[in-house]
Amino acid sequence: MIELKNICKSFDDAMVIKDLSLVIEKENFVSIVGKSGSGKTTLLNMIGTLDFPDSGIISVDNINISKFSQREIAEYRNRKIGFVFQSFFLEPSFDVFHNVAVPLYISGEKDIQKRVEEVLKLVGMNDYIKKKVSKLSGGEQQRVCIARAIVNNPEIILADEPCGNLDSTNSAIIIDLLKTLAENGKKVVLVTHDMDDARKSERIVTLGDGMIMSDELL
Amino acid sequence: MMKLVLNEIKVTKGILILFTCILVLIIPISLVFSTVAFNCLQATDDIVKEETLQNELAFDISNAGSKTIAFLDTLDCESVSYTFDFKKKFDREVSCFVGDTAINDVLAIVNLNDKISKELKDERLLKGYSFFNFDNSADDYISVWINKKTSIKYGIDIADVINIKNDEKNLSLQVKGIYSDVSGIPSMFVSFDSANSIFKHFGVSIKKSVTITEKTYTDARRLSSELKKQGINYSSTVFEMVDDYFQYYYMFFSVLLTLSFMIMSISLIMFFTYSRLIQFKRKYYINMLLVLGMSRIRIAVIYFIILEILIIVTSIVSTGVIGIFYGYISEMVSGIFELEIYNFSFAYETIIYTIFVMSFFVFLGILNLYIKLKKINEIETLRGN
Repeated sequence: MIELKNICKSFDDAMVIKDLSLVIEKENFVSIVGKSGSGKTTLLNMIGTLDFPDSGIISVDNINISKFSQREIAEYRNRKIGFVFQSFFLEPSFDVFHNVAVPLYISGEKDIQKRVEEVLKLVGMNDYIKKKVSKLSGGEQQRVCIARAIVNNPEIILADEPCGNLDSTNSAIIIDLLKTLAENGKKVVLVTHDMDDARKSERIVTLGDGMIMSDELL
Repeated sequence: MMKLVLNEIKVTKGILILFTCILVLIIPISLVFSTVAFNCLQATDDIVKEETLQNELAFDISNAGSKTIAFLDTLDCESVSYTFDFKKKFDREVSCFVGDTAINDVLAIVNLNDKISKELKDERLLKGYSFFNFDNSADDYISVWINKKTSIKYGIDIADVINIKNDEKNLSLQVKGIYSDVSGIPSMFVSFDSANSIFKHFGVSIKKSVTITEKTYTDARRLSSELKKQGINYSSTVFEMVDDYFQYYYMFFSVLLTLSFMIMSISLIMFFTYSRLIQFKRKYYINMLLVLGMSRIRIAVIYFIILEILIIVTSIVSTGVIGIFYGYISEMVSGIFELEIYNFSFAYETIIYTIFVMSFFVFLGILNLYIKLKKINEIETLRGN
């Protein structure tokens, strides 16, 4: 369960999140939509401990993550969270295998080869395992990102505009992948400005001026 | 972790090759200087050992004050032949021990410090000696102590008078005490003051010394500093001689080691540059690692390991290269510095010293990287990407 209670966050005196409270419990695929600057990415970053609220509590499985130490943050990001970003954030000099394996290197997993092959198969990229990511298309790179996000078997996938740089065909593939993950028990939080993508989720939370404008179950 | 290190070595191989080239210039030069430096140190020890074997290392205590423990050396009587005229006539040289006026004081001083006492015992300087049967009433003559062996063999007892003489003069001494020792030869013990009076009477200056056999210079130094701490005075002639050598070679040791250090310190600039390059070139990768749950300290450790591998490999390779040309290099360096070093050898300490100093510089460079990592704002970097 992800719970945000009375969250406030401001940048340079501009309040981006205003006393926001949100609980994500039953739904596995939740979309956060809103206009640019509405605070959706900030919200996602705070769930992922990339940013912290000025006030309020964020708890995941009833643990207050806002109070985490540096070591706990690292552990949380590595074990509990899978990130998927608009800009893929892959290491261009590595091949697909090593890019996907990085979280496993960090956590010190042993059977890396097997696990990487499993997730690449899941995202349909197992034929590209030895290929440099710089040689892949945008859609393929994003699928590698998703593979990397799930390779450590995290409970939560945070996807920030994952289709922002993709054409409609690739976007559909990525959203379908995220949906499959949600169906398999992962909690996927998708930040998007595309309502068509958002409608594929179970719940749409619309933000505006740092507040929840609507919260719709589909 | 090692996988990440290997990946990073692959990715940053350009930078690493460049720095290897620089290290290949720095490390061999520094190795040569530090090798000669360590040979200088070795040379000092060799000289001391040689001196120790030939002459035994001795503290000259001619200028020692009243609190002196130097009752322990056989007096060098070779320059004068003394005839001791005991009750039972005999004519021979007797080993003569010189010591402090008050034996109890001497023992008290020795007992002041168990460590000193142990050192002396270890050197067999105290072992077997015990003083007894003192008679302090007789003060008409210069007093002496004789050993038990002398007492039994020649029937001498306390308060007996002994005449010692040479061709020109004679002098009467009174036995003030008898002591036992491990020595099988007749010997006598006189205080410094008495010894001074005796030898002054015969017109001879005495050499008073504590002989420490088979001691290394370092051990002797340690003992002497212990004595100093206890307020026991001493001076040293052999030390002075050895000190000259020591200072001579130690000066070169220090100069060369400093030179070696200075050459290596060039690498400090290199390691800081490396740290800056990594921050600049690997910014997004580092940020990716942070986002994926790697701690900053572990990221810093990755680069530390990479540089350590670089240093160790370069040092070992450099050592091999130097080994090939070592004979020429050592001749050239000892020629330049006019060093008389025999058995010039490649000291293993050299490579350890080099790796240690370089590792310290790497640590500083990586510490700088770690501090900079702490300032990374993941969100800013995400936006920048």
